[in-house]
Amino acid sequence: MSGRAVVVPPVPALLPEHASLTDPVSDLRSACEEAVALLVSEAPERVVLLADPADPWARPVAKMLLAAAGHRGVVVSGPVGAGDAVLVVANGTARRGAESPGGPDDRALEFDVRVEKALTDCDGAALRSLDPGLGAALLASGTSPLRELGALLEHGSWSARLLYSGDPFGVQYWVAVLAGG
Amino acid sequence: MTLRLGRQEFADDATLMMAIVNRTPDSFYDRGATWGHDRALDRVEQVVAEGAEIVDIGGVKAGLGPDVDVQEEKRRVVDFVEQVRSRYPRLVISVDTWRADVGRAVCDAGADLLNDAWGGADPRLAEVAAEYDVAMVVTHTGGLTPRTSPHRVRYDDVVADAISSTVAQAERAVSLGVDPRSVVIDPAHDFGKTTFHSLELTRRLDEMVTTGWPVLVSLSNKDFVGETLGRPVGERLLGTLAATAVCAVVGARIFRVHEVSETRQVVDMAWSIAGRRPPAAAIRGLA
Repeated sequence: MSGRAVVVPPVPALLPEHASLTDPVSDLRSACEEAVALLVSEAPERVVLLADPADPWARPVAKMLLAAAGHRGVVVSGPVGAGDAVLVVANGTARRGAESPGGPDDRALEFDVRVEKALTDCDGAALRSLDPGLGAALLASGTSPLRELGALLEHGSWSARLLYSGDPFGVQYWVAVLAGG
Repeated sequence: MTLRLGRQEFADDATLMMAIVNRTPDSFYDRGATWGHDRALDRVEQVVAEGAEIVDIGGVKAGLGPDVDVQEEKRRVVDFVEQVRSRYPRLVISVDTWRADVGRAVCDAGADLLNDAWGGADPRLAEVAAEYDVAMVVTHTGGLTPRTSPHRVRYDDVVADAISSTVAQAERAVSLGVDPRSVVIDPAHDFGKTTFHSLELTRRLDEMVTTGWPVLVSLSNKDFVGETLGRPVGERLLGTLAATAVCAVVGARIFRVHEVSETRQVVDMAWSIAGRRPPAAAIRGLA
């Protein structure tokens, strides 16, 4: 049975309580909605949510996106089984440059390039080798969940589609849809 | 409840800028700047560009001055209303008049709203509003005769007086057939009031809002601002905007103004502080 995994970033601006008259993250929102709609398109009984427990926005954003996509099943924290629908909540660094919330760090761009390449290549080993300590230092969210995704990708054959990649506010976001297993 | 001003309807949470357009040679603030026909049309064009939802066209200076009879008032406003209507089909056109005869003529010319700034001095004005199905602003003047100044005026409770007077006028207008969605109440700062009265009305405006009738405030460059800050006409914008913010926070809906874009920013900011309007685009700390 084939599985599906989606990566979305835990951006608080996506939540309804932070709505503006003009949506500052409209492109990102569209990509998230498209990806999560794909994730639940076969009405899975459960979605496995891989999120960083230290990020207070990860679960609220994930639950909001799942509800908006019409998910009526349960949301569990794992473990991931074959064929599961998996929602990974993660973003890249927030230290890419002077405009980034955390200010610049020389290691940030390399970290982000590495994650993006691993996602698009469905390179499980590369994701599993990410350093959570470095991710935390660079204000990346969900490095450990990305490592869990990596473990999943090491079984079977996967393909990836990147719906969004950008850093409009100095934080690297990805929206990715991965299918396979 | 939706606010209906003649041809237009506005949602509960909408705030509206009513731009003053004087067809007078002697109004206190602009001193005849838009007395000329073309200048008045330019003023309408400007305030529409600045985002005003309503223009309030007046042909008689509020304060003391030369007599303006019905014929002269009509001569000043009726054709002008017709021209503004033809140029701006969707603009809400208000006319500031206390006279039913003038009200009838401007409704024929396309007005949406009668701004009864003298508190029902001509009780037939509400009948005209009902007959033409237009909206009406009812005001509190403490019974002052049109175009006279207050002298040693006293209220036991100016806010209670303003509420009982405006609500009674509103209910009367509805009883005569004016759409209940089309009546707005205005405490009428300065009209029949000392500066202390206008300050207290501003401080306690929430009590007027609580009546449930939409509240209009007309604060722009008025004497209570000038006396409070010791500023002459021409130096009252900041004081006006401070009073505007206080009224907006508690939920005033319509702001009768000379300066549209400045007031719009202040009202938007105040409504966002009050939690009634989302920010334009908030990303700080949320990326």
